[in-house]
Amino acid sequence: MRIVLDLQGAQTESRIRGIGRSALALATAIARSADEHDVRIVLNGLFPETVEPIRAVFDGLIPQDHIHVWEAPGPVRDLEPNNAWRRQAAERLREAFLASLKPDVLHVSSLFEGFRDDAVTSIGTFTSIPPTSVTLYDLVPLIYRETHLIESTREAWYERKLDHLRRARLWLAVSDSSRREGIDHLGLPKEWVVNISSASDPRFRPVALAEEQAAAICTRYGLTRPFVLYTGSIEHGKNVEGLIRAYALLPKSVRRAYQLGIVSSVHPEERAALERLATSRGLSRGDLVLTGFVPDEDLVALYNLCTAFAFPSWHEGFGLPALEAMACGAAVIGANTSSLPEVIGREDALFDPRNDSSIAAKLNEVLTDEAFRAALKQHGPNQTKNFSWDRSAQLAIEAFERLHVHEQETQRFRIAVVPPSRPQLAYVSPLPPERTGIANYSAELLPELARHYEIDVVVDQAQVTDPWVQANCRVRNAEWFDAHADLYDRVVYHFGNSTYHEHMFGLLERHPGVVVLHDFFLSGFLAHMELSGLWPNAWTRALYQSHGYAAAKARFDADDIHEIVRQYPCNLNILQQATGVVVHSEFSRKLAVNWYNVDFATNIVVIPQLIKIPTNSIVRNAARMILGFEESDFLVCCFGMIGPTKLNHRLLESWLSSPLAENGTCHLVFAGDHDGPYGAELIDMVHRSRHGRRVRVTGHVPEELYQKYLAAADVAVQLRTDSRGETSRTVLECMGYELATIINSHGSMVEIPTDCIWQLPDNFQNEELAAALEHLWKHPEARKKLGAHARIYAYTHHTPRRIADQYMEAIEGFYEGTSCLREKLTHSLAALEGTPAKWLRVAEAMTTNLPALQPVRQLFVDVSSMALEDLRTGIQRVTRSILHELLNHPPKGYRVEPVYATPESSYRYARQFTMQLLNCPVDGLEDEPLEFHQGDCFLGLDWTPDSIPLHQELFARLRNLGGRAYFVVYDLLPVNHSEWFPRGTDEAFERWLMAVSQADGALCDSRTVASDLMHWLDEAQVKRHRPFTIGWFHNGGNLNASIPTLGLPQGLETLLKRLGSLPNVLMVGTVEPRKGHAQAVAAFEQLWAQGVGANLVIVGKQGWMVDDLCGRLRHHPQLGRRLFWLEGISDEALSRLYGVAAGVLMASQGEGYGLPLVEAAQHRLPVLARDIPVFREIAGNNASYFSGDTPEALAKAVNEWLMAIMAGTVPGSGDLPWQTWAESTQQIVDLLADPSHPHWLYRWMPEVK
Amino acid sequence: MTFTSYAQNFEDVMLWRALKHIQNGFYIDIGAQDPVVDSVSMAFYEQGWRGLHVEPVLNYAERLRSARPDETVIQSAVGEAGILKLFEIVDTGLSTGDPEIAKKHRESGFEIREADVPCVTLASILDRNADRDIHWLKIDVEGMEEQVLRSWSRSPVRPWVVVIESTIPNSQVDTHDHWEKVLVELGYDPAYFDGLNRFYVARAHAELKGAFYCGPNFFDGFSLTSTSPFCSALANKLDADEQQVQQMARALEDAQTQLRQSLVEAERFAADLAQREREAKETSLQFQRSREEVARLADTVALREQEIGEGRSQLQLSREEAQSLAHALSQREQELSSAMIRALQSESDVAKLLEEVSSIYASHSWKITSPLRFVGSIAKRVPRYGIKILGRSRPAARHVGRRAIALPFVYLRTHPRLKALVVRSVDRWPRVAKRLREFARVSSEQTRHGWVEPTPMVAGDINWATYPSSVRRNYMQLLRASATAMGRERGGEE
Repeated sequence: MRIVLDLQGAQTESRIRGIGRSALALATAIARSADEHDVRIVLNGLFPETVEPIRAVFDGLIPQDHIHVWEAPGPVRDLEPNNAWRRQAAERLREAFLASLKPDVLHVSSLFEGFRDDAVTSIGTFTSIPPTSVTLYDLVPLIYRETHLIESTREAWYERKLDHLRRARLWLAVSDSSRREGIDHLGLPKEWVVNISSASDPRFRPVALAEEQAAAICTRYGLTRPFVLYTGSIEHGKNVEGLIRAYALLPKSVRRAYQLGIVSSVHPEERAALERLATSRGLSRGDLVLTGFVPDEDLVALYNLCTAFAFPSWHEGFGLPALEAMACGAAVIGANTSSLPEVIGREDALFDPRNDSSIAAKLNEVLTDEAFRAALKQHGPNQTKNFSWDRSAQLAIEAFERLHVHEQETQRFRIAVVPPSRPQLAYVSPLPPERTGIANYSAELLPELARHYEIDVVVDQAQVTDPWVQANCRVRNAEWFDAHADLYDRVVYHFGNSTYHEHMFGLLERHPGVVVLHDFFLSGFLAHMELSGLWPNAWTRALYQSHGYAAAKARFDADDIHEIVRQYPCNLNILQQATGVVVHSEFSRKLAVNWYNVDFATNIVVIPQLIKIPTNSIVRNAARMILGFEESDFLVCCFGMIGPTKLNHRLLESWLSSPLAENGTCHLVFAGDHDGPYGAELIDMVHRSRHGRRVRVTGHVPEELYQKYLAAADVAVQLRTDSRGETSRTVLECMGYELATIINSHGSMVEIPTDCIWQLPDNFQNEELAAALEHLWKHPEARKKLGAHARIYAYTHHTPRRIADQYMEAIEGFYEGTSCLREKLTHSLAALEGTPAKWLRVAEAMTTNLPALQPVRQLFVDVSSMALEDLRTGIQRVTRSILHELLNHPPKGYRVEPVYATPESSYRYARQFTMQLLNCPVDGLEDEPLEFHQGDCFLGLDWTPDSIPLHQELFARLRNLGGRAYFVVYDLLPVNHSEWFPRGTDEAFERWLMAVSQADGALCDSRTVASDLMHWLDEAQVKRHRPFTIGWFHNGGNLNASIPTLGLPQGLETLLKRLGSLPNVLMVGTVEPRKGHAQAVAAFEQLWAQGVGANLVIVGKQGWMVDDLCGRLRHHPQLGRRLFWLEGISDEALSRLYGVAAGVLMASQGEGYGLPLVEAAQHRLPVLARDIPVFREIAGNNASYFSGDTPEALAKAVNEWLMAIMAGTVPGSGDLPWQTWAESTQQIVDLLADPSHPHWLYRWMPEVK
Repeated sequence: MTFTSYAQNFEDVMLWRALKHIQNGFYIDIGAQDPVVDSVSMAFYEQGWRGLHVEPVLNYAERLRSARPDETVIQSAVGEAGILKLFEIVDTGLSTGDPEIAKKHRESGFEIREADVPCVTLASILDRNADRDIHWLKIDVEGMEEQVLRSWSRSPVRPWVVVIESTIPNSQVDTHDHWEKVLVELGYDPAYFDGLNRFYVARAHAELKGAFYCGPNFFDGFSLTSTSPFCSALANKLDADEQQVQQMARALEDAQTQLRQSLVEAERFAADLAQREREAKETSLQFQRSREEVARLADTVALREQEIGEGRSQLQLSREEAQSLAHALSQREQELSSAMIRALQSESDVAKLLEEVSSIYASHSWKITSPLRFVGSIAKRVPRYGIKILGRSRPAARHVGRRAIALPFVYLRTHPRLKALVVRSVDRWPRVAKRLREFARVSSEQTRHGWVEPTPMVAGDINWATYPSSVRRNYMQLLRASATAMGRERGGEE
């Protein structure tokens, strides 16, 4: 059973009150004890900031994708009359969304919301399908109308809510008293009003407080003496005034010893009024303490510290504060009305709340009678045990189960109402004389379908020749239909893979309807339209939309374009737009599951092919005489168009190799048209055979003659290969003619029972076919039996009458079900009064709430900086390599979608960029704005510090709607070492990190960075509701994958020659402050001065803040002698330099990863690296290390290192482990797929103070 | 004249042998059944004889009436007057009034239909023809022979020859024992038994007895009709031949129809071709005209530039504005050119176009002349690329060509601010603006939808570039539905 809980009660103002707490507590308890039930939480997107905290509450209790958020244009609060239209729209949007979740029971946690806030709680306004249950708190406004419903707007709102309340089918009352209210005041049916009671949160319990702690809390709220406590709101019925008046009646001595503490949020005017009342009743200053708002932690303490707790409310639904106080062991007294006697559970603790002296007397008793007080204190925790959320949840679930069973019973006995007249149906299909099988199919189906519908046919052809259609249907053209589609109750489209269906694509998009897919593939048609230039890019677009970039790329890479046509169905768009889909075989339905996913199958109904009922019977022998065969001849026929997919040559080979070929009475006929080389080859084969004169290839035969062959044949052989789900009417025809028919079990053919047809294996051998032919030849009785069965089968399952009935059931099923929700919603919204100018926002909400069926999730890969300008930085190299891997090998269950944003505009699909990246033409696809759904995942792969903070709302919304967002963090150097970067870099970086910290997690390119990030989160005191996860991966080292730059600068050869003489030490990387160039140059100056013969070769562009250093380098006396600086050379040239280097110096003071280490390893060059954690992480023992920031320290280290190189004792880098980009990408994919992957190092949450 | 025998068992041959000397004789056929198949009278009818038929089964009676309009057909059974329950053995000549016989037939699987038919006496039939000679009387009543003969007694009329089927239906068991004595009493002598029927000759015509000395033979000089069971093999063959001939005739007709259709189609194609040629001519004419118009526009531009040159002082005033504009644009320019370069990398002549464009962009008059020049450049380039596309169908060239035309629009679509600027400048020349919009719309729709969306873009100022297409689809559907709903409301008021 699917239980859907509408938790808006935990989102509105109520969330900080009893109702919100109860709603959340009950929901969590239900989630905990739901067992096999599927519990879903539904939230209102108009309270975006409440979604994450609620998601956090249910984290680990139910899967996050069982929490759903719907959206609607706000504001909708009832208070403002201008919102009326929006509120009505929102009610419909919400109900449609809820219905789309197909709940077995829907529970509304709090119905009376939405007066001052944007909650939307309607029942049965748009649909009455989900049986709805409501928590019934109380009916105070109804009972005390004169005090609660004074304003007319409020009264109208309340009455409307009562109307919704009556349409519920189950009411969960919070107390027996509230249950009776429902029955007595609203006349609700007793058996469906269930008392599930209520409970207090477990944190309300006795606690031992240290004296100074207690004192601190009391002081904080101005409580200087022992006190009597009240908590709750201070509205009229709560009777706080009565409590104050009663307190004033206490003997002065008692009053003096205590204070009356009122814990409640209080407006200044309310405060003034209460204080005036106190003064007027003779209370002194300090007798009455109004604390204002008190957080829960302190409230627990106050409950524990109070001498007594008084709850004088006239009317409660439950009276939670009284129970909370009892749970904390307070001595509780309260009113003897409504639910409070149930809650307090002790007659002698009650007073008459309408009588001040009764209250005063009980107050006096509890304050002065210590024994009584002690008894009450002891009673509290015991009484509390009768109330628990688990018990309430149990009762609620039992009630849900009972409702569910009841609903199912009612459904079962529901009497189908026969509509007074046949519904109007628009039947969009080619019709005769169009030369397509679908036209004939429709002509045969229509007369029978018309029993159920009043049918207009919609065609795109000059004339319709079928006499039945002419006599019985109105014929409309596509244009007319486009303008009048709303006249129809039902629309059915017959789609095939040919140009006869061209007009339907546009029509379906505008007027959804049931789609009959005669061919699962639409690729042939779309390819034709694209290649002919009629619909530019139609095929490329469909390939991309249906199957992703890999398919679009395949189309442009393919040597044989037909291969791609055959491979990809390209029909996702049609499946998504259809109200329902009809196919002719289970095989087609399986194709939908295999190509997309199992959800698609639920919207597909299989209706078998229909058989044409022969209008005149032809006698076998007469037919034979006409065709020139003897009665005794044994005639094997193959019917239909001759072509490679029909395996005609296999039949010919098998027949020729069988004993039939040797026998003069045996004949073989191919009755069907042939053209092209295949047919010619077949005929040639016939001519070459010495038995060829008993093999006949008819060519095109008119229908009448075709039927003669069917009548004359003894055995039909219909083979098939490479099918894509189409079903064969020819086979059915053979069966209808009582022919013993041989097929191979290919595609949908396997669905025919084997006692009606001779099934060869799909990949049969010629011998098997020959044996089958021989058997049927020798055994006429076997033929007869097979034929008789075939005819019975064909006529039981495939007559137009029977098929038309199945169509009716399917069509009606689709129009009743959830697949048609969007259409119904459209019409329901359109019928609302007024001309709404805000359709656009409604359309947006509809798109979010009722998305088309999605075959896979989207993995958005941020390529913002690269898409706009490729700077070929290190990070962009990583991005490019990983992106390539992801595009070529999309993770299972995802389609990879590169996206980009600019600071000005939000994220769009980077389709043009991606197509260019894949070497495909870019004009096929358009960069559209992002559209995301539950389960989609965003990966901030590119580093785009400027735009991310600007689009934080988008990430928040993505996460609210059930998506995930992760960012790749390459390093934290700009915040940890701001001195290495231009001014302001750290602030921008920090803003970026702040935004990142609100996502789901980060992927760091080394464990070092991961640990840095965790420390930063601690430092920055980031706020979170759910943990922030931090994982790591390592970069790849294969340069080829990152598309190296090519080209050798002039003079490189001369340079290489000059470098050849001395050991060359290579430094690779942008010249930036942190890279240690200054120290290195100074160290080498010392070495040169000492006469050490070594060259320092610096490769890298000039970066920032290095003007001085670069000036020095450019004018260095050794420049071009022992010091070399190559700016901006290609990867190819760099590779040559590695070839002449003696070793690589990594003097950088901070790196995220340190790719040159891996490059050095690939060239098996020794490495001297600064001793920093990230280098240790990557290189381990496969490098030499140095410490110290002085030139001397480095000079010494370099000297020793060079000596070791000469001596051959230096640690080699050949064993330094490095991986390919494919492996790096796999690490990322694994992390995203598996939240418990060991590479997730940290689950960070702010420390609770 | 040849004599064709139609009867089941040569009854007509035997009768003819005895009676052929009679001209235009008269016969009575009781239980006549079909007018041709197995008919005893048919041969006589052909020889100019006429007679009377009695047949109880409506179906046969009707057939007789239509085949023998000049003879009397009585639909009736023969026996004691009244109503007889007739067991009609459907589609056979076996129908009988004898329930026992009918029961046997039913047991052998025949379909039996019961009908009440009027019954007349043989006497009354004979009496009606008392004034003439009745040359032969045939009785084939499937087991009812005795009843028939007994209803004769009152009449003095004596046909010359009487033929009676004398075996139990569909068998060789003889039945004449029961009724022969009646005939003998009436004055007849048995003359011949042919295995199925018995022939009796009236004593008044004993001279005829000699004709029955032997069975039918060669010297009777008759031939058989194709419906005769003795000819069934031949008949089947004939049938098939006939069908084949008909089939061939139909096929011939089909072929002729197809030929006629093909001719019509060919004519239509020819007409279509002519129409296309006319259209092509019209198109090239239009193209020529657009070209001329572009030239005219270019002249106008030149004129404008001249005006600007003359009004330099005025320009000076707007220079500051232009400079700040130029600054804002320079960034866009860079993006534009880098985007274009990406698309046009390898095509050097297109690169030249870009240089040209960017140099024009850089000039002060860019703001004013850009749209005009742009139209000009498209007009100039289109035929060149057109030829290229036709000439060598390298896909790359095709893409680049199309891209060169569409790119600026694609770029503008994704850069709203720049677009607004361009739109503002272009609006000063309404005709140019209109054309540019049209081009932009078509290029946008084609790239976005793959097929041209027939629904017009909604009026109003929604920038669809910032919404996913699914939002647009929902929006359009809502709009349509609300228009319909409002239409209904109005309709309801009327």
